[in-house]
Formats: sequence, structure tokens, C-alpha cells
Amino acid sequence: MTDAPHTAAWAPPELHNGRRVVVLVAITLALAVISLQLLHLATLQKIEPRVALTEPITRTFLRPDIVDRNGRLLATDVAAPSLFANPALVIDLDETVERLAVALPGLDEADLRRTLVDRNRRFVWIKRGLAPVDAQRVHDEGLPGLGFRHEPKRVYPNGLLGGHVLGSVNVDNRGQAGIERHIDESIGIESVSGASPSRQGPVRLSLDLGVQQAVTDELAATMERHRAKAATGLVMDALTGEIAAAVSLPGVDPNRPATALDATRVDRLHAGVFELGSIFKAMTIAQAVDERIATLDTTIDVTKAIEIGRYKIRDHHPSPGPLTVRDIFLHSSNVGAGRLALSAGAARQKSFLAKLGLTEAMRTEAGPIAPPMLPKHWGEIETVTIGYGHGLALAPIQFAAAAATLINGGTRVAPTFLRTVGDPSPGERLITAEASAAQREIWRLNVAAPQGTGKRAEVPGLRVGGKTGTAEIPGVGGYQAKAVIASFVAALPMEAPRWIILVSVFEPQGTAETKNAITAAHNAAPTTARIVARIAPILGVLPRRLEARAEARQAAGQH
Amino acid sequence: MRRSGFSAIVLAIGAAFALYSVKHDTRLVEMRVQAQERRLDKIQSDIAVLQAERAWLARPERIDRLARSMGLRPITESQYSGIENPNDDLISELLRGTDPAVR
Repeated sequence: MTDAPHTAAWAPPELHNGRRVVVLVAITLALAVISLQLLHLATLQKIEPRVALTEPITRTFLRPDIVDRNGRLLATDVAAPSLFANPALVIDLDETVERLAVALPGLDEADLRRTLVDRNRRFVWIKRGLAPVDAQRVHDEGLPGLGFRHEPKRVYPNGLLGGHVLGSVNVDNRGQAGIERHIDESIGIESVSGASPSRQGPVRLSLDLGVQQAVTDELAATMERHRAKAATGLVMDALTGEIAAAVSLPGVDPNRPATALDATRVDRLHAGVFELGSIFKAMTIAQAVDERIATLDTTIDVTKAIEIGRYKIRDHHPSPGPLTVRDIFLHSSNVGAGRLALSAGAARQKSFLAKLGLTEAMRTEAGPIAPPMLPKHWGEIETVTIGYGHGLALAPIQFAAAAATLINGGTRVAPTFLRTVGDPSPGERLITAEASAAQREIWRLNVAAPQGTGKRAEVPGLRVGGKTGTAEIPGVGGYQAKAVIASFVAALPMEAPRWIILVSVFEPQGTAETKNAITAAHNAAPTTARIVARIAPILGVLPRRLEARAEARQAAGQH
Repeated sequence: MRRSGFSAIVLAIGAAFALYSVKHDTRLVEMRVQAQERRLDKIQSDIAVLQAERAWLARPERIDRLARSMGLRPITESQYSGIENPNDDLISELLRGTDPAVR
């Protein structure tokens, strides 16, 4: 071999050499692009080919926690094991069914057999939301074809307390009623396939767990003492409408949603409409004062019964002489309230009650309030009966909102279960400040005066005011004298009310202590006193003695 | 030219190894992240359970019963006192009491 051809090969013409460089550069560039792409794929791009076999089969929802006004937990999600089966992998059907039935008592064997026999299916739920101990028992059986998934399960640590307000969720953790439903509709829940905890902040209610407990406890005691069928209690902020306690007994446990189906456990504050009786006279007198038909000192002849057509309305204990409007309230005279209502007339009465929101359906976050039942024909006789609280049936919570307007200076109150953020602006003015002041005066007098029907609601040092109402429940062929709803509407402290309280006892019986009386003065009023004594310290309402001292200190500080 | 070709091959092989090891490390780190995330989920779900249990133990109905069994009662009007103007009767009454926290 000579050097010549070799040299020739390695010494190509200039043209050859340039071409080779071009090819080399092209290849290098191509390789560089491929390397970069590889590097990019390997490190930067987030491709996570995770196996997602069960994803489309199981979807549940994560819910925010619910807390009370002080942040105490009312409802939360915890991860609970749910048992599923893959029928294709179940080896011995009979053994599986038999041993599962032993491990999980209450499982429908026939139903289980039907679901497991279908080998074409790959995923069937057997039981969702198991207790950990049950899950362990099933796990210990070591049956093939079964598996667990962790799903969020809603728990309500306080059981019956606040059950009606909270509502319930279904097996997929979706809200069915109450605040839970409100959360689904207005606040939003996260759809997930696992059971990782919710990252949403809690929903803060206006309820106060301590107040709720005190009201529940006292109402339960009253129900027992008076052998009553049911009882309700409401504590509401008289200015903002925030509800600190809403109790309807017998209660429901949201952990067992089936209890809510029992008709006797219905939420009477929300879902029931009742004629509330004499507590309604507050409305009649408020209208008379507001529309300058009368003042508290106007005297009205109540000695004669009101006769309209075939109806005759008289008082149980007729007064021997005329009464002032103030005394009509104190004696709870039906004739007096009827005459006041008549002097306003049906049209004005209707528009006044409409203004206070008593004729239209309302709703709160816990759901719609049962719409008021108005008389079909609103004539003279209806005007008179509505004047003392019969003939117009409405939900207690709706009445409480209107009653709050009467004593808070006259502004609109919309009941709410959610904690208001920031300073609430006062509602729209509905009645004059003078009419509201007159209400405060007579409410307080009715408790403070020895002849007042509400004297048993007095709590030493705390200025309670209020009105009793004993309404006969309509039955077959007219009103039943022995079956009544006894109510007491109260406000606290009376000179500048912060809280409105409405207590109703359904069908109380007489006791030896009450000398068989079933009127509100003997059951609802003393119950209110006991409730007020317990909740005033929680709500920060100070006794008069201390408050006077605080005011004196403030005055001294200013000088 | 031959030398540059050779060094390119060595570089390519070196890069391939480097790439592989980076990828391997990335996977390891990813697995660790996933394990951490799972632990986080587990811990958060344990916290949720503990909070629920705490709320269950602190439910007012139970505390009410326990407090009453210890002889405690809801506060009454006579038990209020201002700090700068103490109710001497109340304090001396408390001092005579058996509560060691007060003495």
C-alpha cells in the first residue's frame, strides 16, 4: 500500500471536506435535540402514570368542617374503611357470604349473595363507612376478593345537640338537609376518590354550643316535668338575627339520619306552623302604637264581649272596668286586643303583618321555613282572632324574627345560622322607635309587675321582659281546651335588648306544683327564667348591679 | 476528525449514564415525595379523628354531667364581682371554702 491513496482519502478536495462538516454538524444537532428531549422527559415533565383502576367507580365528597360561633367542632370528616368486593376473584361464594354475615351482623345475606354471584362485575360495595373494629374483623377473616377503601365519613361529635340545624348527609357524603345541604348548594364541596382531609376552611355557625346545651337541657327537664309532647327553644340576636340556639325536642341525631324521618321528631321551629296565641298581642299593640291608633295609656272598654255575626269573643276572667292598652297586655285580654285590631281594620292589620314579614314564606340556611297559614277570608272576625294570636299559623322562628323587630328599636331582622363577619349594618326601619320603646316598657312590666302574666320569668339582676301565650290546638270539631301550646317570648336585657328568646311547650300537662294549670305562665315562663339564668353568663349579659358599676367607672374615667 | 468523533461517542455514552442516574434519582425523590404525601394524608386524617374524639369527649352534655357531679352549678347573680372593687363577702366565702386553688 502506498501513501498516495491513503493521503488522497484523507485529503479530499475542499468541496468534500465542507460537505462532511455539514453532515457532522447536522448529526450533532440532531443528537443534541434528542438528548435535550430525553432530559426534559426524564426530569422536568411531570408524567405520573399512576394506576387509576378504581377512580371512576368510587367518587365521594369532602366537606368543610362545621364549627360553632366559638370554633367548637360540630361536624367533621373522618376516614372510615368501606368494604368492597371483586366478584370475579371471590373463590367460594357460600363461605364468603357465611363468614361475612358473621363478621358483620345486620348484613342482608340474600342480597349479598345476589351481588356476589354476578362474576361479570369487577367492583361492588358491600358496606360503606364501617367502624374500625368491624373492618378489622372482616380483615381477619382473610377472604379473597374483598378489599377496603378509605372514604370520608361525616361525624357529628355532639350527637343530638343541634341535630335539626346541622341536617344530614348521604352515603356519598352529600348534604341532604339543614346546614349540610346549604354547604353543598352555596359553599361547595370537593369531589375526591380517596379520603384525604378537606383543605377548605371551616363553616362557622352562629350557634353557641354552650347555649344550645343549656336550652336543650332545660327544655328536656320541662318536657319531663309537665309530661309535654314536645318543646322548642330559640335564642336569637335581636339586632343581627344570628341564632345562638335553636332546639326542637324530641331531637334528631345527624349520625343516624333515619331518626329525622320520625314525624314526632320534626323540627317544630322550622317545619311546623302553629297558632301561637297571646304572644301575638305584642304585634297588635305594636301596630296600634306605631300607627298612632292608641297609646299605652288609651283606655278601652273590655267589659263587654265582642260580637260579630254568630261569634262571641270574651275574656276568661273579664275585667270589671275599662283597661289601658298597657293593662290589656298585662292581663292578656282577648277582648282588648280584638278591639285594638278592629280599630285598625283587616287591610291595615294585614299590611302591618306583611311589613313585619309574617305573611310570606321565609328561609334560613337550614332550609325553607314552613310558609305561614293565612285565613282564606280575612274579615272582621279573623281580624279580631289574629289580634290575639289565633287564625294565623306560623313557624316559631318567623315569629321570633318579627318579635325582635318590635323590641330592637324597630329594624328588620333576618334569622341566620351563619356567623356574621364584621359589623352588621342595622336593618331597614319597619316600625317607629317610639312603638318599639313602648313594647320594651310593657314587656318588662309584664315580668316585673306582680300582676303580670310573665312574673315567673323574672331572674334576679337580669332585666327579662316578655309575654306569655297559651294557644289551644285545633282538633276535630274545634279547639281543644286541654291540648295547648304554651309559649313565652322574652328579651334580654330589656332596656337595650341583645337577645330574643322564644320558648314553646307543646301539650303540657298540669302538675301538683302548678295546681293543674297548663297555661304558659306556669310552664313556658319559668322555663325561660331557668334558661336565661344559665345562658346570660355565656352570652356576656351582666347582672344590673355589675353593669351599673361598670357604667359608673366609665363615667368617672371620662371626667 | 477521528479524535473528535471518538470524543463525541465518549461524551454521548457519558451523557447517557448521567441522564440515567439523574432519572433514577428523580424517581427516588418522587417516590419519597409520594411517601411523604401519603404520610401527610395519614397524619391529617389522624388529626381529624383526634379532633372528632376530642369534641366527643368535650361535648357539653358530658361536661355538664361531670361538672354537676363535682358539685359545680351555673353561675348566679351573687357570684359576680368586679376586679377593682371586689365583693369582699364573696372572696372571704371563697377563702373559707375547700378549693385549694382559691387558698
